[in-house]
Amino acid sequence: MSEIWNLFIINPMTNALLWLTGTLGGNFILALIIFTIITRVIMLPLNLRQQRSMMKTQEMQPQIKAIQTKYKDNPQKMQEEFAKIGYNPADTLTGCLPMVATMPILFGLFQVLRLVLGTTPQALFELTQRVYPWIDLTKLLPIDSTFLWLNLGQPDPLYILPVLVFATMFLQTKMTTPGKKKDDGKKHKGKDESDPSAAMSQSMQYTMPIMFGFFSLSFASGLSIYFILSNLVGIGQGWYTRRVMAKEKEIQAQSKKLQKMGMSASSDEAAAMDGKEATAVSETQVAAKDADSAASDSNGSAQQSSRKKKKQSKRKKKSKR
Amino acid sequence: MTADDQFIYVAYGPAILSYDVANQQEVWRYSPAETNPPFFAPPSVQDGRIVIGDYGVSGGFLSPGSTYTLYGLEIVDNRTVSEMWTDGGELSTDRYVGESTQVDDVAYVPTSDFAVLAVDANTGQLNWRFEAAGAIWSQPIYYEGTLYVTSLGKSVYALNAETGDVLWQTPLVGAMSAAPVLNPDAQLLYAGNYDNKLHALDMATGDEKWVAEAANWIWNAPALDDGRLYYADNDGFVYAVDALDGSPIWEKPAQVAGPIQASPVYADGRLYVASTGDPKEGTGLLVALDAATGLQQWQQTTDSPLFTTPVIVDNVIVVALGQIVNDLLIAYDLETGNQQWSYNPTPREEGN
Repeated sequence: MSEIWNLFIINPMTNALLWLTGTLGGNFILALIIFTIITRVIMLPLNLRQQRSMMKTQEMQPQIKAIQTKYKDNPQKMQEEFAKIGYNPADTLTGCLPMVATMPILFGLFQVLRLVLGTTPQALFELTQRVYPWIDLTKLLPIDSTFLWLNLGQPDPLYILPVLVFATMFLQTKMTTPGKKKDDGKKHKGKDESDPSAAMSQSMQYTMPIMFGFFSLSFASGLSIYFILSNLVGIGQGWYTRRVMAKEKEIQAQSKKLQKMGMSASSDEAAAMDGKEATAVSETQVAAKDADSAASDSNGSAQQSSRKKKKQSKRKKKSKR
Repeated sequence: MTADDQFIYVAYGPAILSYDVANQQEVWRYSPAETNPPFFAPPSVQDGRIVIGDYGVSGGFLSPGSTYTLYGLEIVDNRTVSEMWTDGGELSTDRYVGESTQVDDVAYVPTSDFAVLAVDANTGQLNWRFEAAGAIWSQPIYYEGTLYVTSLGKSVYALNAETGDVLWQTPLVGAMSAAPVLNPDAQLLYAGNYDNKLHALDMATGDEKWVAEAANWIWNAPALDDGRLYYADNDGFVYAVDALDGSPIWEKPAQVAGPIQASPVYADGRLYVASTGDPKEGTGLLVALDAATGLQQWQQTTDSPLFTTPVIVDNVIVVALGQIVNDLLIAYDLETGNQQWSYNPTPREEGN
């Protein structure tokens, strides 16, 4: 097991960091920054999917709860109803994937920093056994482990990094977990008690940052810097996903509006509106083009429904004639 | 591990112990009672006095950073040890890895925080501090008022032992964890380097006189005897060269299984080489070679890798194992390689 861990996690990470350090003229801190960004970018699709899934599930909660209550004695029917609203309980499990996938990187980096900074003879000896032949370790050593007031292989003596780890992780969690709707509290008093997942995500907003902030007191500063950078990327990702989902909501609201108008307005008006809305929809699609297929699905259904309305109004006209 | 007369002194993880080879028994064990720090550096022993630094004690969960302490100990009648002084963690902000050198009443202490410290060996008072360009894991070597120092910062230094002033500095390509070896007759200093070379420098000026090649990093100091230099590398090769010009003596280098971190030891026409053995097996190896030809005479496999230079005491060669599987120390007959005794320090309540 340890050989597999070394072969697929520790050795590639160690060599990637060393290679980056060499490429960047021996600047280890810059190498660590780029390494963090690369790992976050690799994880981005998975993270985005998780965040979208969480937010959608959160929004569907009232419907999910209603179905659960209604069909509590008929699991098969419950699943069918879930499918109708586009909810798949298995998504809750796949939502954990990004966190599970980042764990090896996190644990690995803990080991890799100790190795790469080679602050002890044992670590340096171990490093020589792991370095790929194309890395010139003789040239790279000794790796400069100092950055500002920090020794990257040791904890921050001024406690600044643990505070930053806490703050950035708190913000990241805030950005990437679904917000608590204000009216929910009024409509469903004691909702958190009856909705464990929401309660859990709310408590995670505080417990995770506090936990990691405390850990950072004894972590090597290099690892704390990885956390901070990683959290900053996460904050950016959260902001982006929220923005895309807001656009989607806008689209859905517009399509609902269209449906209502199609019921009441004349066919000519509907056709005229249709053109405008279709343009608006396509513009929004461009803005949110890489967001997800769900968005395009909803756009498609909006366009389909307006086409149906057009046909219906034409048929009405013909029948009047 | 160091030796003095019939005693060997081992810094092994939680303590320093003295072992009487002649009587095959542990004499004393020292570990600071409150902190129980790990020790890595070989103890420097002179005139019943030990100077050693520890590997650091963490400040605890809420207190980042570690404290690294330097100790002065006194051996009383070879039976017990007592603490003379400590620096209270004031002198270094990083680990003590290399062995100190004591000359008269001054101890020259290498530190991982890029410094050589000259301290009063009786009081711990700091005389001077020299800052190098990298960590110093090797023992500083003293000769006639000059201190020769190699560093991971890729330079060899000659310092005025009285003041710490730099007399000369020679930058090299690779880092060095090997202590320099002096050949005053030839006015040469030898330094094994991570650039796969053994460098011979002029002791007076630091100018490079010649280099001898190796296949991989040279971790530790060469052995010098009778105009010959023996050194080993990280690929397990052992070399013999002429100490004056670096020309090879053996037809081809001898090969030992596994990377070699310890210095070769020469005695009575034999060269003893401790290796880390096969990393996958997790075993170590002690090999005796004919110093004239490089041909193997005997070998012994140990339970764990050998990182430490063996010592020869009382007609046996003693190795300290990297991890205690069954034993900490094993002694082998110099001629036959047969195991003579072994010693496993039984766990006990640490403290003075």
